[in-house]
Amino acid sequence: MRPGERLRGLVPARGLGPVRGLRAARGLVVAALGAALGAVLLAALLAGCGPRDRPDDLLVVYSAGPRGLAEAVTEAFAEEHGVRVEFFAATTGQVMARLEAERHRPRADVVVFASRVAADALKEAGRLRSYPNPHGVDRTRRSWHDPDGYFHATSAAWVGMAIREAAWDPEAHAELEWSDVFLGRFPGRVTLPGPSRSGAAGDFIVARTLDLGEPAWDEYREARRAGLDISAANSQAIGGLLVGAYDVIVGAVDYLILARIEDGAPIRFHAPPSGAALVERPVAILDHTPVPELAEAFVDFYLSPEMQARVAAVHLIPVHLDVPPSEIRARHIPVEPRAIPVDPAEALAEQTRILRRFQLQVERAEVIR
Amino acid sequence: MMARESMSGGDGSVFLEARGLAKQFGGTRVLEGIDFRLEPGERLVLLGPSGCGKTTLLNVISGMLAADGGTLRCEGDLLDSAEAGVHRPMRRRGFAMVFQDFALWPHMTVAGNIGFGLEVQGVDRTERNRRIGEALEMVQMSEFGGRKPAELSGGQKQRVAIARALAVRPRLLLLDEPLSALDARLREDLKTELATLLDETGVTSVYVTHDQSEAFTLASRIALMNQGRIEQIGTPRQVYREPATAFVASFLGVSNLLPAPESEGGTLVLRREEVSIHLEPGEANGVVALPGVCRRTDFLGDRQEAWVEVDEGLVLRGFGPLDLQVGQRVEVRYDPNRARLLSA
Amino acid sequence: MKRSRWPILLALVFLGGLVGYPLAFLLLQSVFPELPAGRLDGFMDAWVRMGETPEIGRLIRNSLAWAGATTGVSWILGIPCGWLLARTDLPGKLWVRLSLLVPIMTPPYIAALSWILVMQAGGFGDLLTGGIPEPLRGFFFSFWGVTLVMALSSFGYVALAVEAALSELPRRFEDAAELLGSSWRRTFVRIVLPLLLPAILNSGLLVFLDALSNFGVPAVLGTRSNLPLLPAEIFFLVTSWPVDIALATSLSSLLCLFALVSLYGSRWLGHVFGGGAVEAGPVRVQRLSGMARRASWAFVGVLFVFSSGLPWAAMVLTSLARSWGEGWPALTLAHYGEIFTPGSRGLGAIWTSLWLSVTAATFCVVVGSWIAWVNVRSSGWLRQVLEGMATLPRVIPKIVMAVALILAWNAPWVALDIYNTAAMLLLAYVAIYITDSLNYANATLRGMGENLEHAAGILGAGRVTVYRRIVLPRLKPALVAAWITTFIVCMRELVASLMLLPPGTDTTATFIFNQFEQGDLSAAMAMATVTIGISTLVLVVFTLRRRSSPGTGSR
Ligand SMILES: Nc1ncnc2c1ncn2[C@@H]1O[C@H](COP(=O)(O)OP(=O)(O)OP(=O)(O)O)[C@@H](O)[C@H]1O
Ligand SMILES: [Mg+2]
Repeated sequence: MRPGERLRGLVPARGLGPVRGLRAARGLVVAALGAALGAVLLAALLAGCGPRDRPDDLLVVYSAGPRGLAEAVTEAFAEEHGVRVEFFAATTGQVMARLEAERHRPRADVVVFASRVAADALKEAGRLRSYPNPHGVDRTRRSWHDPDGYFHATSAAWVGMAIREAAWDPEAHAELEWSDVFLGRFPGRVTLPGPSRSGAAGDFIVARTLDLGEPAWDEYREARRAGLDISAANSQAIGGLLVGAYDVIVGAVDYLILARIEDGAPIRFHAPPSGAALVERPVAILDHTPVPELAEAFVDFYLSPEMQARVAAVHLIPVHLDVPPSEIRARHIPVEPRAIPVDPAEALAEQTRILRRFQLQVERAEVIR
Repeated sequence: MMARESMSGGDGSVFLEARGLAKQFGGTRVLEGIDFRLEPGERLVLLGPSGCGKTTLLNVISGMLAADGGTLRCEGDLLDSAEAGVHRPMRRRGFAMVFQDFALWPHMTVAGNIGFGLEVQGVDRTERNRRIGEALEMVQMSEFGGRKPAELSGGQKQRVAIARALAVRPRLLLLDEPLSALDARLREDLKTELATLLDETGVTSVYVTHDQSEAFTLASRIALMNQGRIEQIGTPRQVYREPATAFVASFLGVSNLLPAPESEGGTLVLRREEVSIHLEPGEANGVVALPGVCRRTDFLGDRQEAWVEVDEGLVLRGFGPLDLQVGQRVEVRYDPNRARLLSA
Repeated sequence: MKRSRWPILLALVFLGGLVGYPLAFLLLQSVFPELPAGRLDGFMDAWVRMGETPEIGRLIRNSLAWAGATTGVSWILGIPCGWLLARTDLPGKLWVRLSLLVPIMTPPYIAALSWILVMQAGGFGDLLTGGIPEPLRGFFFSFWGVTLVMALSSFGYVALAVEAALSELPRRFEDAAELLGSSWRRTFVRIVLPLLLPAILNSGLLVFLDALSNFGVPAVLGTRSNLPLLPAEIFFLVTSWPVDIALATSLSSLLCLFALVSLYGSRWLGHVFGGGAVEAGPVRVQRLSGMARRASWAFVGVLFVFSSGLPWAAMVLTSLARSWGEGWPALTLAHYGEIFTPGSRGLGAIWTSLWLSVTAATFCVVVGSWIAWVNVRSSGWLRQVLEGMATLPRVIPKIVMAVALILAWNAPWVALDIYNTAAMLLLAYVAIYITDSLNYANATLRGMGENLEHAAGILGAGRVTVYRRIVLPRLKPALVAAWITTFIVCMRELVASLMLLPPGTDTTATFIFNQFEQGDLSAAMAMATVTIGISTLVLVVFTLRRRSSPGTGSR
């Protein structure tokens, strides 16, 4: 045996076997029949049985980041109520995807999003359960909640720009606008967290597109042509900024930037004069939940001053009026920026179309440079 | 017909000439001092036991191998000369070959196989088709032009291989045991057919075999090879009747090899068919008659072969009557003029 | 002797449940999007939407063009390598073969990540050369750059397949042509190439299917290189927002269709132009001149540097880099430390990958060899169904299989709660990779007469005994190879793992991918190094053991 033969045996044999011509071909065609046969057999085998019952001391929470905060809150809740919490942390997009995949076999009881629009979409689809009066809701910013009580903001953040100090020119950039960046002020040095992953970036794109109308699309395309890079998620964008691969993140969520600034990173947060997007982070109860009381208790718990203090600690804006924002936030974003005006009804109606179009024409499009 | 005009005429002109050809593989000498001359239209059969170097010699002639020593000329052109550093590549020799395992290209049809050589020669399409048809007809395979080799029997494949080689009208046709992959019966039929075909085309050829009946049927001359050398070269009659060495004598037909009388030395060769065995003693008019005991018989149908011990340890083979029995006392007769003396 | 039919039925039910049911369900749902809810409305809705979205046409064209280009480049790189190995006296062939295996061992997404590290602004390329010319960078982050990255990780298959075929292609075919006056080029084009066609087509088909369904490379490089491709689109449709499962199912069905068409297309081509099986014989070996030898080594060497050397160097260096920024980074083992910290996500990912891969490989080998045996020793139309179904997973893109499994096991009527558990991943691995074991076992079983088994049967051995005592031992070498192969591919399986991962669990592949998405390349590369290290270790250990145990090593 030659040495090569021995080695060859160990190469993944991705071969389809010898070409056995038409006989095997006919076999494959018949395989379709076989597949159907298998399907019928299995369906017959399993028909009629629904999902299993769940213990009533288990709460399933799907939460968008920050992971640390979500973990802390669920752990504290589990401890205080003596229950178990199953917990899935991901981006808003991933959480939405999982909910969709599980539409016919629901598992989650409570979801936390980093996007109001996502919660609106679920509400519209009739998949949320109303909880009109959480405990202590009076001491929170009521305007951030759903008027019908289908979801409640736990916190909020501003979506603006993050810029490397090295690239920041206080004079020239004080009035820096979205359009400046999109239209090529920092060619090849700009990134945007992918709206299909990052709920905050998604909300920002929806808000800006509705605000500007059709010209927004020209801007996005122009930005891609000027080398706008779409990052997978916020942390990848921030990583790139810290390393120096980018100078600017458009659609940066402030609390993540503030956390890095606290660590001493030479970056800053900038809200353009025309407005930044305010992104609430709603918590919602799914309508099929077998443990509604537990789910409601979780919402109450999230809105309590103790948990709101934890929210503030990660530099988010707490929804509770008695809990002050973190010191870094107070220092770096002393005055609330102007908010890009959004009509919630319009946002809800248009968001899927906008995000899909953004994916196809900007995010994953082949751009002719 | 197929052969070139210039090749015809057996006026003793030399077509192919080998002088002192030699070939080594690693350290072992596989060919040594090969000399022969071939006249146009002649058919030389290389005959010898397995491993004697027949294929190697054929490959040297074809140009597949370069000789290590000696020279090879064809019609005066120097094809190979290790000393002069000449080695003409096989594709520029204008030879064709029929391989032992046919080597038909499996992805081409029969017609494609036959036409390939013509295509290489730049024969245009209509002429090519005509000649493909002619070649197919020659081997009686006209209906098979569209088939692929895998759809043919062994004998049919061999016919196609022959047609492929002849279609290009080669200067020299080389055949390496072309019939050995076929079964005995078919071999017998094809042997005569091939002889006729080659005669008709008149092509000069070199034919390798280890089967002597094939050699006798096909050869105009036989070169008997042993251990990388040509032991004898001559017409079938010559090599059979007048073997030059003991090896030749024992390789062709069945012979009794006897030590020659002291005075002369060497070996005495006596063919089996020259030895007759009789139950009754007869008159010895010019014939040697020796008494002996039959030690073994072998029934052959029309007669019997027998081994007769005529002297202590000296056994002669010959033919005897059908009623011969082992252990019988018999008389062995032969004509001493038919015995050949080979000097040591 | 009339055989009972239950083994083949059992095998059919198994494969039907594993592969047939999910795929059938996927096809149905692409047509009836509301099927899981038990409604038949929205018939062909997704297909219509697909037709109405011009961008999707672009995606499809891109995907086909990219997979085609990858195959072409793999051929261009692989065929000369195969020829050098099979037909020349190039010294050091063992090393050349190893250099072909190394890129095969490196998952394409890791190679792609490593290439980003080399080519990005401020990457290794800049550090090494003091600044890569911008046009070169532009070329790399483009269609052809991404093609090259993919081709560099798959040309080894072509090379090894061509080598195998060439080293068995007897020289008399070439001699016969050359004797008739054919030039070297004509002989190659008219004789050698057609006879090589089955090997070229089969390996090309593998590369094509792999590229067509590859998720990792375009996911890592696609956006940046402005190259949107179908598998990534399907992935995002299923895993990010806005979710469109119906569209994902119809795109998946389309991908399946392409795969099947290319399978039959290549078989048809091989049938029409190829010569079928050729009996092996002595081959012609070209003696290389000193010049040609150096050129060949340079060719192989450059290929190795680009396919493995540079990416691996970037990978290992990044995994050791303390911080990123200006100039060469300071080195640290901290990232490995993090991975191996007890209780860390990294260690968890390694354990998950290990037990999943070991279990899946063992399961595949055991069940796969049994099915292969049932298949070889039976006949009739049931066998054809079985054979067809067994070929499916190898042809169906992995991402499609993953989508199908999600749908199938999330359907409201499924009683088992295996979605959202690691068992789902196990199921996916087995469904995707069982064909390898089947093929390995099949190849051996075909060459192994039934008489051996009858001999045992006459002595009164039952079916199970025959299988255990006669069939299995004979299969052992093939099964060991199948096991290693399956283990290695499971260790690196990315897209199915990403899609089917239960909450809070990672495999090494998803860990790498997530760390990349989080922007922590050092951690990603440390894990990549560990994964490749484990795979290589397993390979080496088994190879050495096989070499040292006589009697089982010959194949
Ligand atoms: N490529 C080679 N390398 C080394 N030795 C070789 C090679 N080819 C042939 N030989 C040796 O040369 C000798 C002659 O071989 P050759 O094939 O010419 O024999 P042959 O007469 O054709 O035998 P046969 O009748 O069996 O075909 C043999 O001993 C063989 O082992
Ligand atoms: Mg021979």
